[in-house]
Amino acid sequence: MSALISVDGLVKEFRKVKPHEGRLGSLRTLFTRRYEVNRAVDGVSFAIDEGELVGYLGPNGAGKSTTIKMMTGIVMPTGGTVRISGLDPWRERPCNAAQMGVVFGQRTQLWWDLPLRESFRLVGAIYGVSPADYRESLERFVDLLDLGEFIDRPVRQLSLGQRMRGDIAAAMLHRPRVVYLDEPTIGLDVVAKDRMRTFVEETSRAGETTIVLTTHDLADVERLCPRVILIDHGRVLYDGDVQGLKATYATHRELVVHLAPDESTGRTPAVRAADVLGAEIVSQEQGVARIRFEASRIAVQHLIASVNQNYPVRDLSIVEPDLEGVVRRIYSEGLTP
Amino acid sequence: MTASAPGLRRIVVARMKTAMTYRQNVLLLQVIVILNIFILSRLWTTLFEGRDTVAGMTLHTFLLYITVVNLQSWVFTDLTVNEYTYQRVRTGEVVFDLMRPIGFVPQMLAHMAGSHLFMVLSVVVALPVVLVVGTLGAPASPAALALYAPSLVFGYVISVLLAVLTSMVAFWTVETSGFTMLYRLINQFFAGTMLPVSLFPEPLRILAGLLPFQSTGYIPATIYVGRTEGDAALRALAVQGLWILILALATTAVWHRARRRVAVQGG
Repeated sequence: MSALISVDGLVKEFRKVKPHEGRLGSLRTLFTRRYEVNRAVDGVSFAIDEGELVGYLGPNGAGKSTTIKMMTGIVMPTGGTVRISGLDPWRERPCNAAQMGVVFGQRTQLWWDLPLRESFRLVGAIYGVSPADYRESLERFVDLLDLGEFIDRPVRQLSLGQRMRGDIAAAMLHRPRVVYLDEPTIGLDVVAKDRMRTFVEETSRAGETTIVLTTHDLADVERLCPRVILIDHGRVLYDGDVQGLKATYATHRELVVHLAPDESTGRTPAVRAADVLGAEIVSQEQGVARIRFEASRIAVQHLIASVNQNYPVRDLSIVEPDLEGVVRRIYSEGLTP
Repeated sequence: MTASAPGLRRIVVARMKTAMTYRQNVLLLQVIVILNIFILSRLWTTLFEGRDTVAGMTLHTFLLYITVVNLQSWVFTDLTVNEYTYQRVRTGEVVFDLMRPIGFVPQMLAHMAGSHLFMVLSVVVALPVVLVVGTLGAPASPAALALYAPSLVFGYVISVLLAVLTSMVAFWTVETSGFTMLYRLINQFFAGTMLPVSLFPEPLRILAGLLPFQSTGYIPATIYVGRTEGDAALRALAVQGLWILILALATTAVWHRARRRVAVQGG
């Protein structure tokens, strides 16, 4: 079976006018234009199967939104190809548009001055949803997203969480095959985030909807995405499952040691580097030492034994890497497993 | 096109409902137009003192012209779609419009249709007041009516095309409100809402002849009051037709560039 979404060697370059500097610079810019080419997407390739839920990650300016805009057919690629169930989103935009739904968490497609219901009617009409399907879909969303209490209120009066739920329903009312969720949990409180995640989870579980989720909230990814694609500087850094990402990039664990004060002097000793050879003391404050070590090179029991032997230990714990730490490291240090 | 008809109809309805929620705004617009007609009628009545005709029109014809041209302009210079496009582009929400299976320009036209339908209703409601402050009357003759109908339709199409065209400025500049105000002023002046184009000083009259605006106001209104008739009226209709052609081509070209701009520069 060929993939539903296939992106191959995708490139997008933006050309910007580069201003002249110095006196009369702006005047010179007006007449002699110099351009600066910026490669926002630089040879991205991936394939996504029908029904997959994929987290599309990357720091700000990594090229995520530009890729999404090319997949939705708003932006024309400079090079490479995108196919969504065989369609070229740029050349066959209306056909591609009919089978997709999009949520941009920072923006709304809802009709600001009118009751939420009106925006749903509009979506139903624009995508040619039959009255029977419309009723059924709407009922389902009202139920799943708990829209009942505010569906007849003007959108401008809704809270951010309510608005976002409305936006999700509006994006999916016509049962699109592919849904792009760009930061659907941004700005939401804990409860609203959880509700949103549950909804995405349930939608994905039904297996009929392929979801591409862009987010900065890694709790979204940990909970929802079996697979992540990580990009930076317009290139794919990692494509695989979350465990693999951790195994590849989070090779270090941290041993946290709480030291007891010395019985004779009453002073808390400090861990010396010589006693934890091969590991690195990250910090040492108020009797708590954080020791970072590479799990494949140092056996943790030796490290613990050494610490126990040389210091009065009150408590020990090993901190496993979380996704956030991993991603933070990749964003700031780049691709070095 | 047929597949998108229900979607477009829905936009028309939603736009009318939006106008309904902002009816104070519509009321205010009514007051402005009524005041405008009132002031211009008083002014011209004073200026007529001691004369039988000005620009070949009797006072009654003149006042009828002023009333008709201002009522038309009320609907024709509606800036709803200019404001809409400006807001959508500024907030980036235009991406939602651009990713619909329906084209952006048909969506704009539907927005205008909704807004205009509501405005026509508000004109009808305001007519009794207009009758008091201005001058209402039947067309000059059955022939005038027969020519006025197509001329009004042509004028409407021209103003719609102008609105679409000027709305698209938003794709190039971030701030459009100054441009829009200037445009509205130029549009209304050259459409002949303050005085008939025939009273313009020579250079301005020539300029008016080169611009599309008199085709939206002056031409249909003078046909209505019988000042433009016979062959002259047919020629005026031809000029209107020519403007529709030119503006339709221009709109297509500009929209093509606007979409490319979004596509190339990113929304």
